[in-house]
Amino acid sequence: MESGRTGGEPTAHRILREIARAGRRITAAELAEVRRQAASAGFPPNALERAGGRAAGVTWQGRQVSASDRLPPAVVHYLRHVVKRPEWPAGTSLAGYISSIERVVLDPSCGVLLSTYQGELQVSFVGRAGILRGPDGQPWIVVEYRLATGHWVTAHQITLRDILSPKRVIIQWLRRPR
Amino acid sequence: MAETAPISDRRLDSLLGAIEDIVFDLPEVIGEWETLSDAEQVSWSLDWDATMGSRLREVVSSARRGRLNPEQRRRLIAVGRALDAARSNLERLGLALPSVTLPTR
Repeated sequence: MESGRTGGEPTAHRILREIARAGRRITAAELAEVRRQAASAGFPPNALERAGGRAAGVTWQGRQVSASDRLPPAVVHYLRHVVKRPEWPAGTSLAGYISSIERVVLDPSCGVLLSTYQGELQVSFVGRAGILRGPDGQPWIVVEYRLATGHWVTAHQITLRDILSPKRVIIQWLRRPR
Repeated sequence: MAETAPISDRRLDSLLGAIEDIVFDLPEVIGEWETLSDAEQVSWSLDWDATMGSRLREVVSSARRGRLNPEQRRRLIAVGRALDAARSNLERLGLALPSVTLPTR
C-alpha cells in the first residue's frame, strides 16, 4: 500500500473516509498508515488557543498564565494536562508529553476509534496510561486526531466511559483497546 | 460486593479544582463560542465531556458517602448552581449535561 498522500490528501484520510462511507473493515497495512499519519501530525503549529481557567495561574516561560492568554495548542494542552492537573508524572516536560502522545498513537496494542465529533471525522487512539499515569491521571490516555485539520485536538487521560458524548457518533472501533 | 476504597482529601480537592476550572469558565466560553475555531470548540468539548463524566461522578459519589469535608461540599454545591444557571446554554451548544445529580445543600 502506498504511504503518504493521494491527490493532495493524506492516504490515511482517504482510507478513513472510505471506511466511514462503506463500513468495511480496515486492513493491518491501512491501520499502520493511519497510525503513521496521526503520530507525525502534532498539534496545529500555527494556531493559538485560549488558556482558560484550566491553564490559568501556572508559570510558563517566567510569567504567570492568565485565562485570556492565547498560546500554541501544544503548550496549552501541556499546561492543562501536565502542569496544572498532573495527569502525567511530575517532571514531565513538554517534549516528554509530546513524545508520549506519539508513542500511544504508534503502539500496535492501543485502541483506535473512528467517529464523528461535532459532525466531522475524528480518530481516537486509546492506550493504557500505565507508568504515565500521574497523581491526577486516569487509566487511559486518549489522543484525538481530527481529519478536518490533520492535527491532534487534545491528548489527555480519561476513563473509557468518558469517550461517550452527545457530540460523538461512533462509526467503528478499528481496533479495540486492550 | 467489594467496597470502593475511599479517595484521599488531596484527590478530592484536585478533582474539584479541575471541575471548577472548566465550569466557572463557562460564561466566558459561551460568550465567545461562535468565534472559536472548530478545533478549539472540539478541544474544549472533549475536556468538558471528561469533566462531566468520570471526574464529576467520582466527586458526587464521595459526597453521597459523606466523604466530603464541609468546604468541599460547599464547593460542589457552587458548581451545581453554576451548572443549573448554564443549563439552557449547554443544551443549545449540544454540550453534555451532568450525568449525576449534585447536592443542593
